[in-house]
Amino acid sequence: MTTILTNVRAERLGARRRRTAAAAAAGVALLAAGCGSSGTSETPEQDDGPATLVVWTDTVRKAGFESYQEAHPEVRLDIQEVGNPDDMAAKLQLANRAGEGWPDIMWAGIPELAAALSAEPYDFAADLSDHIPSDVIDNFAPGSMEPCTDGDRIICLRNDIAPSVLWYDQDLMAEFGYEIPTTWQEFEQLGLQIAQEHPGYSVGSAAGPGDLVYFWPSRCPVTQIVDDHTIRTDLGAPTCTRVAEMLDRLIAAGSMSPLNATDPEFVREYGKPGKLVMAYGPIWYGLNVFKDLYGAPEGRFAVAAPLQWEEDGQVWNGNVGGGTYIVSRHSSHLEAAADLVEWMATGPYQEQAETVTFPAYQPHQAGWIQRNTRLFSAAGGDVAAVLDEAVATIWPDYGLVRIPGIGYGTTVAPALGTGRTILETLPEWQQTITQEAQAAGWDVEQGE
Amino acid sequence: MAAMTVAAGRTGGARAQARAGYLFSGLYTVLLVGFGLVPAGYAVYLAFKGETGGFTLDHFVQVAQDFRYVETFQHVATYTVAFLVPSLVISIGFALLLQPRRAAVASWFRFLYYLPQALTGAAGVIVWVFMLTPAVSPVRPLLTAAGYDNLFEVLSPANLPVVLAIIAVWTSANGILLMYAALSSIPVEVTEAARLDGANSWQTAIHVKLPMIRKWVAYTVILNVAASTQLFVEPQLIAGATGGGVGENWSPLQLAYTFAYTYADFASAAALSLQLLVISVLAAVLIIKRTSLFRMEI
Repeated sequence: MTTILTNVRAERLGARRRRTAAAAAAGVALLAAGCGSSGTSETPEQDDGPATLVVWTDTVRKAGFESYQEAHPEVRLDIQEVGNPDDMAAKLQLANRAGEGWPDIMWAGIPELAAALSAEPYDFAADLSDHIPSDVIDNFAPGSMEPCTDGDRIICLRNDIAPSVLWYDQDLMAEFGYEIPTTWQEFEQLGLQIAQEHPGYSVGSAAGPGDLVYFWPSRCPVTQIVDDHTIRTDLGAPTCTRVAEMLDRLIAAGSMSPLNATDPEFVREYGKPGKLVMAYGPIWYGLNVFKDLYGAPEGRFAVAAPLQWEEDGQVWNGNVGGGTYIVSRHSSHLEAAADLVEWMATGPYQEQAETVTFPAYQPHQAGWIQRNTRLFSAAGGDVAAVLDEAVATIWPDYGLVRIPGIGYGTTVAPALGTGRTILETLPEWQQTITQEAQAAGWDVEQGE
Repeated sequence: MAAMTVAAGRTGGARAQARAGYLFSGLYTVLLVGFGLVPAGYAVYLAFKGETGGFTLDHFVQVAQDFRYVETFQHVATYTVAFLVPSLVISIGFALLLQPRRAAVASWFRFLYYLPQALTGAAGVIVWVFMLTPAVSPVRPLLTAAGYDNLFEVLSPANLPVVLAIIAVWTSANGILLMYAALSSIPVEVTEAARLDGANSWQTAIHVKLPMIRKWVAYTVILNVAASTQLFVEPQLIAGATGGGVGENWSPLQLAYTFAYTYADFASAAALSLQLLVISVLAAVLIIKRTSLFRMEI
């Protein structure tokens, strides 16, 4: 699977060129070769006539675009389903070379994609700051518009956020008589205890998005952004090794699976038979994993506040996904396009029953919680309070940067599959991050 | 009069045939130029054109410096051997076994062999990923007996070329059909003569039939080497199935794809693709020279 080249703020191709013989003409580089309209911020002539907007979307969001079409017959939408983010990015490259064929609006399924598509070599995203009122922007959850902000520019609107929470099976916890953990140390302790007292039951999975689920809340510097073309990675830091050691101990004890939560084997062993006692993970686990994949009865799982590393003195949390809407800077109907993404991210779409994800736009969060209380409740009864804390404590410096192949999934997950420990894989993971990032044009600082 | 009509009809038929010939080859030429030669020419242009114009080898330097460059070629070399040898042995072997059978039996078996081929490479991979994932595989006991508990163990770096080769062999039944056709073109008199001289079927196969289908074998090898250097879909799909854990940027063509669509570096992608073209052409030339493929038999 090819992934998307990203960099929050441009120029990595420039950086890359500087290191090669081809140095001289950096920056301008490749785009200019095929695309007559390079140059970053010029706006194409706006068309006053009735707007036809080309939309690239995934299947889930398609329903939203269709209901916009119903409500706004004056705009004609040409809705195209484009597979995964990689396909979209590849198609954008082709459009860039051809100088035509861009969509007006694009759904980006992962938060870090907008920054990538805003920068070279894609240079795709329009600045929405003139089109979206600032009081609308202010209503997004704290930090949620960070991936959509580039200096003064607004390069996307955030659809949803996915903070992690501690999920637990209410019936099993009551049956076994366990207390809900509040710290990672208690979590590990309980995991070891479950391995002893109730073998065959699980406290979660270590593969999957383990970097986001476990390493982010521990403030491990996986790919911190230093500046426009430099990242820092230091997986030997204590904030990383403590996570690896905890997971390794739980895996060795047998209550933490080395697979990921959606692996058929995990589903068969723990998901379907209802043997998952607790799991740390994003808020979308409730619907997408527990209900849809495991077939858990509604109301069986509950959420508790994010866990804290005792020595940190305060809670830090992580986020696993959340999509954005991007408008093309090539669009000749910027106003209409902006209106549509505003409708999707902050308008009626977020109130629809089929909107499964947790809205980034705060005024719609209460409604979403209302619609989901049949699905899960919260320790102490207040889902909103748990979610508020989960969002407010997200560590802002994790450095969501999408560089091909650096994921936890490409190095650590396969190693786990072959019986190795996470701790011994950390140096390899760091090497992969370094090599892949350098190949993508980043400078990489390693270690302290 | 009647004779004249026949003659005229014959010329008309020949003319129609010639027209059809021009039409088919004309269409082929258009497609060849549009989708083969022009893109190839453009790739050559891109690969040698400097950022500011002029001739350069920078793009070749750029790809050669990539940390994955050498290993992608190693992967494909292992894969080619692991694929080519068994696929030849199997296709020739099966064809030899099949050829002396009664026509009705042979055609049933030919159909059976052809079935996996009916799946495109991509669908074949999906089937195999399913077969090789211990959690869902119908042959799970076999896999666990071999010590494989999950997909990552099955697809370890050492196993991957072999697994991909198995998939390729499985879907390369066209080799059997080709070899069968080649064997069928051997005149009956020749095999009959061999039999009269006291050769058993093994000796006939090795000393008479094989040398006579040498050119077909050479032709198959050329096609298969070209196909191997272009390996892309299979590892790409396996990478998808393993969350990027296995098979990502595994073959040179995948790396070229990454250069083009991830780094927007189409020039380096072209430079890498040209190297694959050169390898295929060199292999073809070598095989043609060694087997005198194009020499007319008298």
